[in-house]
Amino acid sequence: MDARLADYVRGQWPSLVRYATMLCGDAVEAEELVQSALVRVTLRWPFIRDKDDPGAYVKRSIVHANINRWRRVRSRETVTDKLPERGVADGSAAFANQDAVRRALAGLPPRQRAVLVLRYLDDMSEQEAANVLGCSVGTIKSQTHKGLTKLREIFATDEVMS
Amino acid sequence: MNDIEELLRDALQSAPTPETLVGDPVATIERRAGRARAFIAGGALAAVAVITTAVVVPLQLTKQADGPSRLGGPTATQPPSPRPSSTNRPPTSWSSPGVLALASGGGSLWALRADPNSQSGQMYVDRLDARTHARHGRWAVQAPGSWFFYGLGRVWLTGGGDGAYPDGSLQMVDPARASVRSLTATHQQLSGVAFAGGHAWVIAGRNIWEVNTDGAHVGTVALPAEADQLGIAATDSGQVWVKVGKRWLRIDPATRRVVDTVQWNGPMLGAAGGDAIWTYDGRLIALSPALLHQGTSVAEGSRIAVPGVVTAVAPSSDGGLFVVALDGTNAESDPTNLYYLSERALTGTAAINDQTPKAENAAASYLAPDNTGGVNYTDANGAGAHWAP
Repeated sequence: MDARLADYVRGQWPSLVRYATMLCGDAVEAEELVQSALVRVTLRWPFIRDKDDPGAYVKRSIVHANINRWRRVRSRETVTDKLPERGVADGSAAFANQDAVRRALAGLPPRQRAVLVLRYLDDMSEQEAANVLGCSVGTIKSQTHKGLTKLREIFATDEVMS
Repeated sequence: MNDIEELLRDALQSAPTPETLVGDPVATIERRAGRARAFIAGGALAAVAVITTAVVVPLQLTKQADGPSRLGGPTATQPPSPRPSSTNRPPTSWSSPGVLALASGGGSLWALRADPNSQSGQMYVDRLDARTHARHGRWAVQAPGSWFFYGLGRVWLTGGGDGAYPDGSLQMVDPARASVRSLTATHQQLSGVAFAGGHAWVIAGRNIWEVNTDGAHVGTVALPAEADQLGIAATDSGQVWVKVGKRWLRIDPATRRVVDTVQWNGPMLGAAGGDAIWTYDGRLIALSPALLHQGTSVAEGSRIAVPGVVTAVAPSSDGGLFVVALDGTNAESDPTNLYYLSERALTGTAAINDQTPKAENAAASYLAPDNTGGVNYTDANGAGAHWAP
């Protein structure tokens, strides 16, 4: 492995797993996603243009690995309005709300999840997110709208905000 | 920005970092990448093996008095004799790292290299002498390029349709015309290529593209499958098979339709003579997939005992077989060796054992046999190497 990529992997591994966890909603699955994406990056390293800053490329690969994974397992994955598990109150309304939002996010379809993570974690523009996901800006807009609407519904059902 | 957007942003950016299970991520990624390279090479052989001149395996044919010929599998296990002249010579390296892929055909060795100074994905296809590795020609191609084949007198390079390159790409180098033709598949991944009926058959997303020798897309075979395509191979008899999920589908080049489906989960490792394709299922097997309808024992020809998972095979010019296999069961720690089975070993019941000539820990990818009984390959570091067992 190229020394620059090795340095990047060592330095960014925890944050990449965290990023993937936001995308797929499962920490163990996230680690597998990051590994798969980095294997692809390693194999394609000679073709990567910005070798000093491979972060964007790696994140794109993780997003696509997650979408590909979803395509493979979608027959087994069921999207539900119910939160995967109930949070445990820690005495802080802010923390409770954030935790509830993350769990609600995990209940969204993977493509909506990816759009929201790109837009609100990576602060990508609609055009940038469209480029990463290989779809139109209109699709990003509609997926963002649907995702946020769904989050509101789940959130309201959970009555955390109240 | 409204309440939920603010809350979502805060929630994402304040998410805790999960505990990771991987102790040394760099070592883990390197191990997996090494295995992936080997599997890519195995897929490439599905095409490369078709155009090499040597018949891969002398399958045993038993003529039954009351029926058609059928493949007869071996009945007893005996260790193969070592190659009489074998000295088990070590491999030699003939290039520094930077060889992305190799293929053999047309009397030459073909190497794909990246221009290390290019910011635009510039790559080169080099025509090399298979023994001296002297360069006799060079053609410029562009990234993406992940799969590399020689067939129909041309070099074929496919890739893309992924996170780095949203659109798939096929580039065809025609050495006789000194030309490079290219095709683009919008938002589709182009990968494996097989050659049959004078055309190339290219995995394109969930379809198979038929491409002629001018590099033109002339037909499409739609596959009735939801699972990803995992490989394509053409037999020496001209059948084209595609691995989709846990099934192998046969497509008819004439009608561009799927004409047969069999259940088989093993990988496609390359043509194995006649209607057979090399696959792995605990042993290395020359499988005639169409005969699976009559039972596994009928469909399986040569069955070779191997020490571990087989990732690639290639016919040697002297009638033997090169095999890349894990030496053990632990993919994380056991070495991946390159073995040579002589023609004599293959005619009986073959097994890879302590007597089998091998290049230890070669981690060979992109096997490209030469015309003198040796093989070129890329090693774990991406350097070109040659082994003459």
